Amino acid sequence: MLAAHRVGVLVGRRWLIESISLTLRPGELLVVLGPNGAGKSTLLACLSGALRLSTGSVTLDGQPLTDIDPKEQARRRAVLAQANVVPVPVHAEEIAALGRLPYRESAAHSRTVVAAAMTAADADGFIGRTVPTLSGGEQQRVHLARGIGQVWPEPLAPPRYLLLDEPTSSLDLAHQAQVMATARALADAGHGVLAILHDLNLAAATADRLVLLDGGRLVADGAPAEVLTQATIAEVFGLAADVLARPDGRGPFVVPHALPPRLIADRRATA
Amino acid sequence: MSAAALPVAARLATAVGRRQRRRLFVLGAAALTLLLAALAALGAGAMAIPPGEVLRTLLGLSTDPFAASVVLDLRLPRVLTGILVGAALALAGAAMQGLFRNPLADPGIVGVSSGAALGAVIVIVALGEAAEPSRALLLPLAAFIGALLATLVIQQLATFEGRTTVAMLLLAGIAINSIAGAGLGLAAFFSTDEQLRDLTFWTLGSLAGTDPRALWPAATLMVVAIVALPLLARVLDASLLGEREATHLGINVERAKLLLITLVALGTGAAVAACGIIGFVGLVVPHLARLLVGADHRWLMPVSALLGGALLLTADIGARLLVLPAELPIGILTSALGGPFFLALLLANRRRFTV
Repeated sequence: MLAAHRVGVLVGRRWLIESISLTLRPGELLVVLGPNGAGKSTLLACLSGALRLSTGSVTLDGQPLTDIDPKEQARRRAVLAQANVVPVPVHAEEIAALGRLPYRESAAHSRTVVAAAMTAADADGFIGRTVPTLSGGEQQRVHLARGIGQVWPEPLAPPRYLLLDEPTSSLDLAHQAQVMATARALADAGHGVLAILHDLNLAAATADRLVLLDGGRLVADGAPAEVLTQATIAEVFGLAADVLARPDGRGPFVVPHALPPRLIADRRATA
Repeated sequence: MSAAALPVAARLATAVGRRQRRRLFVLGAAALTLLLAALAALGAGAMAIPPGEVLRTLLGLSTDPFAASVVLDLRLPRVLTGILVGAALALAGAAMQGLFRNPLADPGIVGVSSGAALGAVIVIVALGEAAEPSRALLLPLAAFIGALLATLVIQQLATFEGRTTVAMLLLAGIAINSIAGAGLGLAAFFSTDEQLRDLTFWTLGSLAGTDPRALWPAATLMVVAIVALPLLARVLDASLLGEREATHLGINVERAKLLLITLVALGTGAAVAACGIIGFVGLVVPHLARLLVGADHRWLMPVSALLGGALLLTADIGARLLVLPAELPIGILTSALGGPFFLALLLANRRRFTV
């Protein structure tokens, strides 16, 4: 499993995240929620080894991340950033194929995996097109295909992890659902998948577990029904909401009220 | 999932296969272009020698000893130097554009070449006669150090949190070019008449004059850069996504950057030591290559190297023939062609570069 142990990042005199402990287990889809500036992307950067930690440590299947060769890390976990801008006209399938960079393998095998990953991300329609000609959401699917291909399930391979920073941010409703269904399928195939989302209901419907961050601290960690309560939503997002049950029984469903101005004022006063 | 992916795999194979064939064709055409340019360059000059005679000479079948001597002793070293310089500059440009994720990077524009020239000129003026015996070795070394310093400064200035901005890159280039310009001016002020001729050679660029035996050290360094830079193609491909993403793909970005910067400085420094500042080759050639084979550096790099050699030889033919019996410095020619190209590039990307 991929685990953060009391991880903290101090920039200047401000803790971006403070003393966060978290585990991502193989076979699990974990969604990280929280308002802007809560430290979600910072936490993801720590888990992927991109940031120097001020406190704590991150381990990958029990081994400190800092002790694992970058190439080996790349074979065991893929990371997708929020925005990926490619400055030159590269073809979609060439970007997707970069996911196979950490592997020494035949061109034929690489192509099979890339084709499957592009299909899984619904990016196979972009074969032969250059990335700058695609819309933001379409580019996002190409990069998702790259990430999926990088950790494509192989027999006898160690557990693999996929870390996604707002993978649905530029996607239409159908593709949001489709990306999360793909994430779900990868988790069911044995991957540990972590995604940062803003849509509480999409998170509640697909995740095994939710983690709620606020002000750089972890404030809740548990099953969707435990984490998404009226009290936590009011506390963390400053939002009055009804928490209903989904008709299909998969998790809670959050219906925010129109924002009462008083609550905004209260929140400012306590901040 | 795999059953549904089958037609996709077939489509992917078709698309990739078609592109590979196209790229292979371009690579062959670029090699042929270089070969033809080399034959033309061996034949062209004050004494024109027909291609058939050039070929016979190269194969050792020539019956005209004077023509053979012109081709083998005078022009062949010059042509080989031209190929190496063109390839080294084009590869340095392609590598910088990939490293900085920026299509405007060029060893000349951002000041790497003038850093190299300053290094070389300092050796000429400061050491004077004393440097003469080991000059062939000292010049490329000093040029390499000058180029390396310039590249490191640019990299430190223009890259912030893993991203390079066009504006910072070009501004850093202006600063370095003016510092090097001041140094070159100062050197010119203190130099003897003979040294002044040397200095003009550095600042304008020329394939003429230098003793071919003195070129071995610079040529060796260029060959190292030309062989090693294309080996880093996949690193440059991953760098298109940004430094952090490249790290996530298993690339040791810090080590790769240091290696790339060193090789760029080596190639540019040695090229400048051999024939002075020849601008815009590193800008124009990778763009042309990218139009022909796309952004995949495994193809972009070799095609750039071949076309860089061909472009430099073509420019050198022009330099030798345009003002017969005299000879133009080749740097004037490449700048006259590259400057408008640069303007056109700015025009085409006006929207993107507006800050």
